[in-house]
Amino acid sequence: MVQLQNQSVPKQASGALSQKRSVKTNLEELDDKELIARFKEADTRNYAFNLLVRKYQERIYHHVRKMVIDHDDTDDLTQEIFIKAWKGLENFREESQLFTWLYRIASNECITFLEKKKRRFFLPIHDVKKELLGKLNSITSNKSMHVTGEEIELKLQKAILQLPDKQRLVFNMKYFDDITYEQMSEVLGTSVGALKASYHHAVKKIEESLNQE
Amino acid sequence: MKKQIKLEELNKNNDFFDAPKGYFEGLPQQIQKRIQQPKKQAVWQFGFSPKYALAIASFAILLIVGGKFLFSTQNSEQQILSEISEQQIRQYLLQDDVQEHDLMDLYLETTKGQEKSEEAIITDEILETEIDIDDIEELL
Repeated sequence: MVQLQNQSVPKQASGALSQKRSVKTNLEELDDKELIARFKEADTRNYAFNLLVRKYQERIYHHVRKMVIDHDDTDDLTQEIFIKAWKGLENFREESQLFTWLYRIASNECITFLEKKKRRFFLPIHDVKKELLGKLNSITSNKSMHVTGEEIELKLQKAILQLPDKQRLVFNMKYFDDITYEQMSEVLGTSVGALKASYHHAVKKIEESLNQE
Repeated sequence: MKKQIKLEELNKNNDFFDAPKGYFEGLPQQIQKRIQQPKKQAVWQFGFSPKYALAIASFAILLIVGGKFLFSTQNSEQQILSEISEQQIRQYLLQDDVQEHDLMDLYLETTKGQEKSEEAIITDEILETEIDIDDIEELL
């Protein structure tokens, strides 16, 4: 950056560069409302969407990954979620926040994916859980588990996997992503009271599981 | 006594599931590429979903198997009948206690399509039988 500033750039080019850079900086600093507005303009549509993906991709990826465990499945679902967002953003009425809307799409995709998995192989619920547990074990076998903190983390992830899918969503959003119950209510379309009860029970079950051995 | 683990005391680790190196750098382009791609029209987009295809295939298999079974039983009946000589049939009819009304029923059954009444059959039989003049005289 310093090098670029010190280089001698022709005056005209320098002007264009600084203009381009200022547009870029402005777009990068855009909040969700402005991003949506830019998306609705044909000229800035692709660029605004690109920024939106960059802004939310990691949160969406980790939200999905905690549900489906496998990276390849998460990759497919994450792409699918953003393609759905591209299709639906034109009609997004901004009654909810952009990130809760994205989380809503992501959560629905995860639940649909897991339901499909159960139906496709005619498997009862615990078999899909077993499959996810196997994937979790294969991930952790690639990591070095010498640190006590990581061992507890693995135990925690195994305990979370024992929860029903919707309760897992609630727990992950509250515990890992610090999403408020009100926002979660927007995402899942469930009352705040029911979400609080669900989280409370999830914590109890997980702590019981962690203290079993 | 072993210390009880409390969730709130644990350090939250959001990076337990890490993505492969460089994954997030390439993801936006990957998504853009998929968005710009012209839609491939799948076969089931024309109302031929895999669910329906499976149902149609099962029905077709049932139809073929059922048809083959019916055809083979019909053939075997015809084959058995063709193996019996006319002489054997005649002998069976003469020796066994075959009632006339049974024969009549069989005749009616086989000529159902022709819609002939019992009376018409009797008339036909009378006309077809060679009647001796002596028999007529005896009757009169």
